[in-house]
Amino acid sequence: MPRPADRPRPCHFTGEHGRLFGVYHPAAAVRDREEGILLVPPVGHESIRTHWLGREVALQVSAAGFHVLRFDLSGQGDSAGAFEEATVDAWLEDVASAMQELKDQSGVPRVALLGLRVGALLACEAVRRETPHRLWLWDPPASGADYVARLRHMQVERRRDWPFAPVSAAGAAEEDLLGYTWSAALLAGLAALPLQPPPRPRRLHWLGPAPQAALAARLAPQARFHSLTEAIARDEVARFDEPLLLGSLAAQVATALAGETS
Amino acid sequence: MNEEVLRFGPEDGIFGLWTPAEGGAPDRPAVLLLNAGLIHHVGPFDWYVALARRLARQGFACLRLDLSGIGESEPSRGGGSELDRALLDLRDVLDGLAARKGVARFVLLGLCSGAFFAHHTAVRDPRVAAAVFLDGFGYRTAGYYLRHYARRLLRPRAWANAFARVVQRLRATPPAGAEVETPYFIDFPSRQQVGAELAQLLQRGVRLYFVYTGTLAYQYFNHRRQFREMFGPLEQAYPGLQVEYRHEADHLFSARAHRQDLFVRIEQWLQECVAADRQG
Repeated sequence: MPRPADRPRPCHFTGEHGRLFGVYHPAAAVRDREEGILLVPPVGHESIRTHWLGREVALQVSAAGFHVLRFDLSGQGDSAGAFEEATVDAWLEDVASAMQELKDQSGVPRVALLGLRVGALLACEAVRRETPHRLWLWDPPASGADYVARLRHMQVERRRDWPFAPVSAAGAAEEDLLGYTWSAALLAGLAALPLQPPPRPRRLHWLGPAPQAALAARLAPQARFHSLTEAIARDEVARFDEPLLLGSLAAQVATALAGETS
Repeated sequence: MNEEVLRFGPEDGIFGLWTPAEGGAPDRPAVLLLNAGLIHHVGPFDWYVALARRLARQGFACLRLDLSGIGESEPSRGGGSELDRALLDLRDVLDGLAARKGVARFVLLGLCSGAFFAHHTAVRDPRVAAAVFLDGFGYRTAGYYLRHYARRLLRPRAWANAFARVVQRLRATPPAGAEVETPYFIDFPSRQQVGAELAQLLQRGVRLYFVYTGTLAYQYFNHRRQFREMFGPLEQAYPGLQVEYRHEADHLFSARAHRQDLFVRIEQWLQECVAADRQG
């Protein structure tokens, strides 16, 4: 267990759309690198699925000397709002609020973004507004459109085991997808997000299984690739609701993060 | 709504998020939402958060919490079984809420493993006034087998596929890819023991609401009348016991419509509990 001063600190902070919930992991005092890492979370069912992973990475990385903030986007987790009313724009504002919160809590001058899954797409967009010190993309989808298509496909697949799984008609105002009610506006906003890091970010890192060749070629001039042995993205419909307890994956990510210095 | 982080236990290792009641009598019980398996305190698809906020608007304070080693709580330093540790955690939580929030009585809501821990806590702690068990204890009966095989005769392929997948999930091994030992699967006590304990709770005046669903729980429960087959005529003897079988709903209530129905029913049931208390 961390020393009391280093223990994770749950917190509420103010976002543009209401109260946001987060957990601040102070850097281990003896190793403080004066650098912060903001974990931009996944959305929908993947936020539940990866909660343990995110916390484990934060614990290890803070022990290595980084200040870390995990937080819930509006309408998710313990933050204010309803998922049905969430928008991509609101989420991007949440990222900005969380970056500031991390700076306020820790006093660090430099913040890196670690975007996990759709959180990586959000991080790519967020950096157009405020350039972070470093940008980590952890197992991002190929695009927002690809992610939305995958959600719909998996929801249809659920009917194999569960004949009462709701499947919405095309163009519905809301869709039940893997446990969450997605508004048409949110799906459209997400589908419009590309996997497009801004040109010439300070430092760009890819975390995950090797990307497809075309994507790797597009990112290669500016990215460092850190290969991971497991993916977050899984098409196992029968287990879509189960937390991923992947200790070695968390260690690999933490090692990659901690290994990078200015 | 100003939710508040609370910590419990001798080393403040247990995390909870308190949603204060909006209005309501101060002597109302507080509702505790227990982890569903290894899912952290927000619940499956965040619906513990939605339910807590709805109940708070109806005058019921809620706490969604993480047992040791789950979510934002620290690993337990104690030994013993998962049940032993959960019981200690919940005792610390009840004691903490009594001391800090003046709560004298509690309603426990548990899904799957949470239902099991809620049952055991209710048996041991007289402060538990009511409990909701979602896919809690169940035992196959002769009627279960008759119904199961009759359905297979009607739709052999569909049911065989679904049954095989459910059995695979309930094997006593961690999920594929998991590297951490997890208390994911809980052993049921004997039917006789649970039946006796339920009778004891009902005699004590504890109100109980059982909901069984049609997917994972199908492994051991497949019709509303099975409750009587398992435990005898408790419903007839005790008006404080209610049982539902929601065969269209899945184990974690992933469909919004099913969740909304459940929320409405839980709200109604809590109001009935309050009304019964006033009369009692």
